[in-house]
Amino acid sequence: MLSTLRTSTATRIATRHLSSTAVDPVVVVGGVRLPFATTSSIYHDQMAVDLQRLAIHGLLTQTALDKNLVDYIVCGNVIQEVRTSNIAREAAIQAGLPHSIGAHTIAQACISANAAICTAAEKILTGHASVVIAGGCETFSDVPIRLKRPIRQKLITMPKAMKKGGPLGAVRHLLKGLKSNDLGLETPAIANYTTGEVMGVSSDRLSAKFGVSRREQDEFTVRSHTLAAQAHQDGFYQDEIIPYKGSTAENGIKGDSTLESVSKLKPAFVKPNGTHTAANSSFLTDGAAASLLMSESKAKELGFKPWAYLRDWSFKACDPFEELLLGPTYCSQQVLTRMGLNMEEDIGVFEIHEAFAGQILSNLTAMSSQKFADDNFNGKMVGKVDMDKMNTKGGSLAVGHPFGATGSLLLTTASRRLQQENQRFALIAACADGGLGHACILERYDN
Amino acid sequence: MMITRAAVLRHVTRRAILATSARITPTAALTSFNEQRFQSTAVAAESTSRSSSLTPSSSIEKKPFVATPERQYEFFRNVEINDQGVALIQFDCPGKSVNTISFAFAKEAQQLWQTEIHNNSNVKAVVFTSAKPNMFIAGADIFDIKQIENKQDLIPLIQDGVEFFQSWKKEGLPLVAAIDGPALGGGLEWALWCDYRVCSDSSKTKLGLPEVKLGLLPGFGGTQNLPATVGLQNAMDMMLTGKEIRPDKAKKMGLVDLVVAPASLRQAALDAAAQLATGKLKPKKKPKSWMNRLLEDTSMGRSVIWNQIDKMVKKNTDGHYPAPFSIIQCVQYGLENPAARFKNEREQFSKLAATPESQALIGLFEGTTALKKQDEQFKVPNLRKVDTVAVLGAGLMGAGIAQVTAEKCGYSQILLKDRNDEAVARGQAYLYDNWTKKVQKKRMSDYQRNKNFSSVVPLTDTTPSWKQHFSKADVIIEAVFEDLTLKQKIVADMEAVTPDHCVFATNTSAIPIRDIAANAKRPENIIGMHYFSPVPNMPLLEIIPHEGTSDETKAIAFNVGTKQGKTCIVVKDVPGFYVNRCLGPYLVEVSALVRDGVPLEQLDKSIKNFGMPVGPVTLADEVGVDVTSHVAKFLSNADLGVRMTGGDVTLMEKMVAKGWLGKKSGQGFYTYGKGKNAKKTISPEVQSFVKQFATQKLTLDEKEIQDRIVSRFVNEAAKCLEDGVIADPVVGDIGLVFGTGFAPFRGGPFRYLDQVGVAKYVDMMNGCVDKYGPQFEPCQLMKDYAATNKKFHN
Repeated sequence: MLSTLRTSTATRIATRHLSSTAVDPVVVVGGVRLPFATTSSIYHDQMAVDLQRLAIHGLLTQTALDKNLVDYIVCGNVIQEVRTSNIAREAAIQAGLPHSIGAHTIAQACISANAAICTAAEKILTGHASVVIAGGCETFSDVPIRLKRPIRQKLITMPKAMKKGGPLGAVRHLLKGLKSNDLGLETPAIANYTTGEVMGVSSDRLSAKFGVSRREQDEFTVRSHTLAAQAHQDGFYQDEIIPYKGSTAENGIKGDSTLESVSKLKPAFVKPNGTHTAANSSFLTDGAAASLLMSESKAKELGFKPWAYLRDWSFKACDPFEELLLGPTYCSQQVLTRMGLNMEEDIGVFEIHEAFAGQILSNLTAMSSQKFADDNFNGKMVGKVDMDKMNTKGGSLAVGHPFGATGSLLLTTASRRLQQENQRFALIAACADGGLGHACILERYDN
Repeated sequence: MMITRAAVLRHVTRRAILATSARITPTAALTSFNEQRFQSTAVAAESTSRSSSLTPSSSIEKKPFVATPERQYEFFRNVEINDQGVALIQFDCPGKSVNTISFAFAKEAQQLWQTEIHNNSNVKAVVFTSAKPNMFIAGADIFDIKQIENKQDLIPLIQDGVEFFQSWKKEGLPLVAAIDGPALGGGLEWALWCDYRVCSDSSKTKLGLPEVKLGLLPGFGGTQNLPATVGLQNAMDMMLTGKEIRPDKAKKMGLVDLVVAPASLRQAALDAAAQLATGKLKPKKKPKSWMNRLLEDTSMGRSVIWNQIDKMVKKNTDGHYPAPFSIIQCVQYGLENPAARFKNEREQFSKLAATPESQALIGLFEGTTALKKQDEQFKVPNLRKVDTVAVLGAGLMGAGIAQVTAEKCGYSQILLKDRNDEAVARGQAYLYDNWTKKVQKKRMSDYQRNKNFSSVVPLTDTTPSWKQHFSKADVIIEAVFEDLTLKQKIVADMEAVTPDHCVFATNTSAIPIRDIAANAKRPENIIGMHYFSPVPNMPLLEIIPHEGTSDETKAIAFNVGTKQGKTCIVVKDVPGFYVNRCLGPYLVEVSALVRDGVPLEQLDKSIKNFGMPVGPVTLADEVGVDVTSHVAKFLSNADLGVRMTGGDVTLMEKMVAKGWLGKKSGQGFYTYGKGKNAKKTISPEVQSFVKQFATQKLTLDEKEIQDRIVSRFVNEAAKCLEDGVIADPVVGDIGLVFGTGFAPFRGGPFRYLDQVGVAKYVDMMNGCVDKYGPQFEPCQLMKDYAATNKKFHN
């Protein structure tokens, strides 16, 4: 009874917020992803733009949306291929969308797709668009590997030297002052630029701070794989994944993982006594996803049956030196507070990005820690997440984490779970490099 | 530096001098035919034909041209001379979108030259261009050549033209050609007489000398001027294959001097002409590589080239096509006898124009062009625009149909539906891989491939939105398993989800269309579209209306088929339709010859020598012995009566039982080795099987084998015409040439009959009746034609 009362209060509050000024609310109409796959496996010969193209094409196939109705396209992408720096535009054109549709690309590390989705929502709310495709893509199968800076500099100034001194002059220019150390290659590292720290090390540090043990992390990892495998087996993902070469299988999911097998692995980042291993960290993943967002009135007009309202979102950031991946806690707090929702009582579906088991468990600990609340939120705890409601279809640890695409997956899975599990509100949260975070609230759409 | 002979040979072969036309590769179809040949001809064809080659000029309501100050010439815009003294001459054939060189055009050109340029001291340079967008000159007018009864009379006419071109040179004026759109045949020859060529980088711009495809040669100096411009190897490649050269390649080989954006073309040409006149710009010849200099400019090198070319041409023409040899002769003669080279060229031209091969090829070319415009015959006002085509079944056929539709039609989407994800994905992979091959050969850009691929929507029964997609379908092409109940069920299923106007085309080779339409709610929307496999390569499409098919449905089927790049023929709804029906008696006769003890190799050789792309035994293996057997059996039980007798088609049934399914199983009549260069052999097992099957051992000469097989084929074609299965001999010729590879240089069964003489042929067949039985009885129509000495083509 109390819960019903609360829910209706919450609904009232939610409805008041953002839609109070008679705005046409934003609805999630559809979403798909290509099967996420370990790097250099099934997509080894594809470019990220190809993956995004296939995801957009898949979204159009799945929703039967007339491509002429799309107003805008926005996609997330992190490790950039220079030739496709505005990857959203190239993917859209190659997916056969009309040339007249504008597009831009967002880089916000692991929450790039979330940023794309919320940008789409803002466009809809401000009346600048009513049908937007928001997605994201990533490939680690073809990262830019570069020559070192001194050689790059020499190559760039080479034509000048050539003009001046001919081929001989060019060679002299190239060799002048060259050190053996300048030879060699630069490969991109998954590290923060400002702190110079590798993500895994930051997360390991965070886990130690919140007292998350290796065993807890390993247990959580096994849970993720088991649930993801189960979801695939149950056919939950059937309508969410666009087959690639006839298959919807996701090759990163290891349904037969056991605590025993996972606990055998050695630490991967902080050696010898760190807690983060190759298993309890998300793996390098290739993949792409796309979501379809509309204004409610447009969805109705076109006869679509939306899954959910996208009610509110937060992109707060925190200290990248000390708590690089703690963003979800801060953002969840902000968005819940703003909407007047109580996490423990109102949220029926949680989809929280699993960058590292240690990172997500640290966040869960922070959310339910009175001390943390006292230190940061004037004593108001975010709340305790009910594990039976969180990431019940697996998470990034098992499915994989193509940086630019994960946000779209979270949105799709959360929206579909709201419908299937008949819950009212969903909370999506994710961390990102730079101390960035994201959280958003969905509300089930009743057709 | 040492050059090995092998290196030289490699170099020559790499330039792949393919002889014209006759490069016919066997494919896994009910035979094969080189698509490229007629399709690329057809491009030029479309243009040329519209002008005149198809419609007799008398039938065109043409007002005589009256000169006005605004328009002084019929075929040209008024000449403009700018302040730098550059005269701009613009081609502009009246009343059509293409320019073609007719004799009238050439005559007026001379008159214009005399009036405006000759002895005009204001003119310092000349630019030739077209007043029409995306069109330089599509070629010479074939109609003119056809009209002239005695081909010897062409010689003075061509001489007149060449002398006109030569007279330009005497003026000492720099001449510039500005090309946007096709410059083909006579158009390119025109440009080759200029000192400087600028072309646009438009996708419509293409340069080539396709005369060989019509059994002719470039007669306006082309065989002489092209080698001088682009070198011997490039020139022979272009002239012997008739291929079209795109702007970037043209620049690389020195065929044009400058490539610019279409909007800059005219100014660039005017500037170049002005600079050539002042001497600021000098036409530069592209420097040759030392290897090419060695090959092309030394007698030893040349003999290597000629050797290679000769080998290639012989291999690819089987000696059936005279044009490539005449082209080679012209070039060789020109190198030896510079003084008489143009005279020799036109003499060779007139000889070729008189050959039956050229007439046959021109006949096919014209027929194809006429058929492309057939949808107009239905006169359906405001024909509905097709936007979405659905293909049911993503197998080899369905995927092939989806491929050509996505690639060529420009529809907004193609729905491709099959049972499950795997089946659809196989179909998608088929078209994607075919496009990737084109990308690798630079015939398609990555973007075009991806865009095409994106226009194909893969669907299965479990795709939640499939019905929404089908609610937009304008045409459905069904290519599922050959089963009447299944097809009827699909008709019903589709009628429930598609809009009322949706055309339902069924791709069947055996089931009567009227049966498929029997329980339909909208039978008027149902029509047969019989494609040939592999769909992307086979140029023919049989369109089979049943009695209740509406004109709108027919027109739409034609429209779609033509856009897919197919030559469409309308065929009556009879067993086997036209092409397979004709193949029935042919297959029976092959079994009869095997029974009579004729060796398999001899059968193949005889029929290949007749001019078919492959012999009947190889054909059965390529198509699949099971498929061939199925067709033969099906037609044996159909309505052909005595015409399907005389042989024993259980020959192939027995082979199927043994698992000898042809090339696909590694064992058919021939045994196929593994690996790229493996040769096919006849195993002792097959030898003894064939021996057992034979009931006698006749020794037949090649002519008799040819007559026995071909006459059954040709007679069935004539019978189809008699019974109205096909509308006319043009359709009949095109059907068998494009559908089965019937010797193209013979022009098809009806032109073949004309060339041999129907009476003579009927006599031969009557001889066979006496010798072998009533299956050789010529049909009534042939007898009638023989009696009155009538011809199928006039």
